[in-house]
Amino acid sequence: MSLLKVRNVTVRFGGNVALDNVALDAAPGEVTGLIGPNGAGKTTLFNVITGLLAPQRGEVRLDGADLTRLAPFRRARAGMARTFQRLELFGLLTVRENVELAAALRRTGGSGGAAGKAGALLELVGLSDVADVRSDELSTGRARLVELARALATDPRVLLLDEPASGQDETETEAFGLLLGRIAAEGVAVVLVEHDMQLVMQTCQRIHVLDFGRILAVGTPQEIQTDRAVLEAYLGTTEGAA
Amino acid sequence: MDTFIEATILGLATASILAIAASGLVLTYTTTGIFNFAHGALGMLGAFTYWQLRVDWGWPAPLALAAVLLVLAPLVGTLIEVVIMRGLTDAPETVRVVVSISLLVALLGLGLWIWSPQQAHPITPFWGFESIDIGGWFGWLPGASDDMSVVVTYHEITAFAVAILLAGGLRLLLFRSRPGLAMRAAVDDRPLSMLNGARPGRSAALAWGIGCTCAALGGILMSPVTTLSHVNLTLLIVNAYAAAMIGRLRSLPMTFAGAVLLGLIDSWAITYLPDDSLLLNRIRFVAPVIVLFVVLLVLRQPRPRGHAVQRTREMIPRPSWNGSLITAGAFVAAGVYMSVILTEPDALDIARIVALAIIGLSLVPLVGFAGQLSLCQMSFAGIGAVVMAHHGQGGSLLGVLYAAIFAGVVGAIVALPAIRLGGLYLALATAAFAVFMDQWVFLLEPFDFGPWTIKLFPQGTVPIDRFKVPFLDVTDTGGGLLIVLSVIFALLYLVVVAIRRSTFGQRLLAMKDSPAASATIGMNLTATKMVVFSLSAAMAGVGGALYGSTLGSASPDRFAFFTSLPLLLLGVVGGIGSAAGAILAGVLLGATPILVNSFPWYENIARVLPGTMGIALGRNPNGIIQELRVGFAPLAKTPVFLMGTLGATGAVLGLRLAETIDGALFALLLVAAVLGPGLVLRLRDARALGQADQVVPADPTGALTSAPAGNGLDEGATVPLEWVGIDRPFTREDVARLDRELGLEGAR
Repeated sequence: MSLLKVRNVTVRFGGNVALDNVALDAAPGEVTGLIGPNGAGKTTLFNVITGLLAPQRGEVRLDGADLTRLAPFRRARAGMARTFQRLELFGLLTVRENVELAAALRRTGGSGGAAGKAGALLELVGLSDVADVRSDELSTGRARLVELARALATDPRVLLLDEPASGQDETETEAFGLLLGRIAAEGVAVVLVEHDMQLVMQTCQRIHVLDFGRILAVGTPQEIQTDRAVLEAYLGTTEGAA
Repeated sequence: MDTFIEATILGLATASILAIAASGLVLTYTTTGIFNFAHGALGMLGAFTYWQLRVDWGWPAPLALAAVLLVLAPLVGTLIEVVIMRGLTDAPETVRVVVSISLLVALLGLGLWIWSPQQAHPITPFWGFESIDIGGWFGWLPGASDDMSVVVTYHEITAFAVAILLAGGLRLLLFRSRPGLAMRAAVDDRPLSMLNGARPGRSAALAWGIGCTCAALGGILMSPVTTLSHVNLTLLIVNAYAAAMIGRLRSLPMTFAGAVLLGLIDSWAITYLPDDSLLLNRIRFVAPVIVLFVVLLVLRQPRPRGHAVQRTREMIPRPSWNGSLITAGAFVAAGVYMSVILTEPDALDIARIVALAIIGLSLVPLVGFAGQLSLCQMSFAGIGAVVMAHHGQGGSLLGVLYAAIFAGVVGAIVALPAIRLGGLYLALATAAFAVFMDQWVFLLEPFDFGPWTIKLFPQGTVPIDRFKVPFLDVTDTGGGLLIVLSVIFALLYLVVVAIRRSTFGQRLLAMKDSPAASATIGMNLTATKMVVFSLSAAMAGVGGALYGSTLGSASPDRFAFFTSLPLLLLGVVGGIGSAAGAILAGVLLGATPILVNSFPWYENIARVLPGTMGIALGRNPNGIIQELRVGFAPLAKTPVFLMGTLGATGAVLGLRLAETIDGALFALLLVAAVLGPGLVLRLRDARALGQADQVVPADPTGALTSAPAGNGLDEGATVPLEWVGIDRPFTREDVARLDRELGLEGAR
């Protein structure tokens, strides 16, 4: 049962095909991995899903409803949230304000709801100590956590994470993997783009492999690790080895 | 029939000139990403330089043309690119637009300075008024008579020929030459073209050189047809970008098509519309604006951008209520103080400055918080003044309220087509609206609109009653008016503070920082921009009503496009993130007529000052006042010096109040009292820093390894250790902290 359904998405930049007939499914309660070499089209696909980029063809559905023509902010209100590979924090605001603003836009809870929610989320991702620091003063690793907290503040049903662990050290990454599991366990469909294969293989239930704008393989971590086409894409042709 | 053909040919000639100017604009914009608002001003300077050489100095035409088009124009264009624009490629759009507008204002000022507008600058068309009759060519048309006469001047033929040659030349350059290939590559992907060995800097310089030549060519061809006028030629930019907009600022062939459309509308309107009606015969000024707005409506929304690269860290501090109330109190106190020491007329002059500062304050939420530009703030102020004149009779405060509502509604209507596009497009639309108001609406005679009679500036000026505060007879005198305006300024300042502190203010800052991220957390960018634009227009309307009230009678030129521009520029220079910029804008704009009265030579300085300040300082997002504040921050932490400053300032103010000192001495002492202690403190810090410098090399380098390596910041520190002294000057605390963390404390 998939909550997020992407079908036949094609994006061309001039003569360059960035996404070619791509399909992707993400189920609630699961972490879905999206991996592939640099330039494979992962971020482009996220941009299409969140509405920052209009595809030439294809559709994006959330829980059966067609979102393809909706503006990004309407998709967000429908339950779509994301983080960015190139950080997009509100640098003029403090860490707390970043999260509070997202919570306030969602308008859940009574008075003071946004502030309380922001506090709880900062606690969850472990940023309470820097809550009142301007967000552009944080290290990359911690800034990514602010983006995560901000995305969570919108009460997402689908959470798209674009390389959330880059800039984090080993212990931070490990804690982050556990956190992802907890988020998914609450019924969120998490889609994870990540280059840290250990994190991907440990956290994801299903993995999509994207290469040159095409979906190369879909399967469980075990299946992906032994898939011939995937190995070729990552390690070059296996003709000699075979 | 012959009238129609002649009008069409005239229209095509105008179109040719427009196309020449517009193609230069498109070329520079696509190659460098900087929209040259000064394009029309450059054309104006080109035309005047040509007049100087050809008419005043009597050079032969070919020599004068060669000097302007082959030497001066390319040189100036290249120079502008290298000196001013090169550093702006990665800057936020607001900064690029502000610097480009600064250039417009500076060049216009320069033109007015060199070639006085009081003097006539007659110029004849090329080949005098020689013409040929081509009536015979059209004998085959239905309804044509055999002896039909269709006159085409040689000047018109020249314009056609130049436009066609230019179109062909640009095509060859872009598609058949190496530099052209490099230019097109830079448009597609600048970093990639650099990796492949192109030098975008060179392409940009070439584009600006050619662009500037196109502007000069357009100006030289245009001036004999209309008149050699500073303002009209500078405003040619609006027609040029309306044409370019049809090509989405990118396509040269579509730009030519746009020019033809505008040229024909212009010429047919002149020929066929009755010229006794002001409503209709000024259609030529209105057509480009209408075309522009229609194109804006059909343009597709660009995808929300992410961050822009900024070299200076922007500071828009969240002000505390306590601090803001003290500041607001200081505004009122300053108003009361000045009303006591100043004579009646002088107090009225200062009241005007305060009113202008209120209009400037309207830019703070829009430009400072939301990062959107408005080039028509004085037009909204003008609407406010007109509403006050007609609905605030007897000084009713209701007039001010109506002014706010009316200006706010007009603001929403203006913003409607452009706001979803934002950025540059909003700037272009607001500029077009300002010109539309200047050249048409404000000049209209009273007319009937349905059941209402709309009155604007019926006799060219309109009397505006001085507003009255209920139950208090204070505004009859200049001093009283000044006090009331200071109170209103202080209140509006607190409104701006409240906006900054609210969730709405956070939204605006977030939108300015990263539109993409704002959209993906569920923010409706269009609605947010719409609200803040309308709010800003309403505030400008209030400011305009009050400004009109201080003037007593207002004429449209007070609210012209060319007043909106310096207001914006000076606001940005002063720091548009707080009230500082608004005050600087109000003071410099309001003081100009006063200073020119005493010192006539200041007039030309005043013309170029806002522009040059904008070029030099427009790229600093914090403004000079904030820089000063940061520079003098140590003062607040050193009670002795703080008390010294306050005490000295108070003493000087008191002496003036007791009429012991006066005039220049007072001004001098006041500056010394305000700045002196801070300067002494800085000198002391600098000496301490010098001593610290001498100590550092003497220490064994091994001490560096003992530096604490924590992730978080140490107590009392606002920036990581590596950043100390980078975003602001060194202070004593910084030196002490460096010593502490490097283990150098004992070395003193």
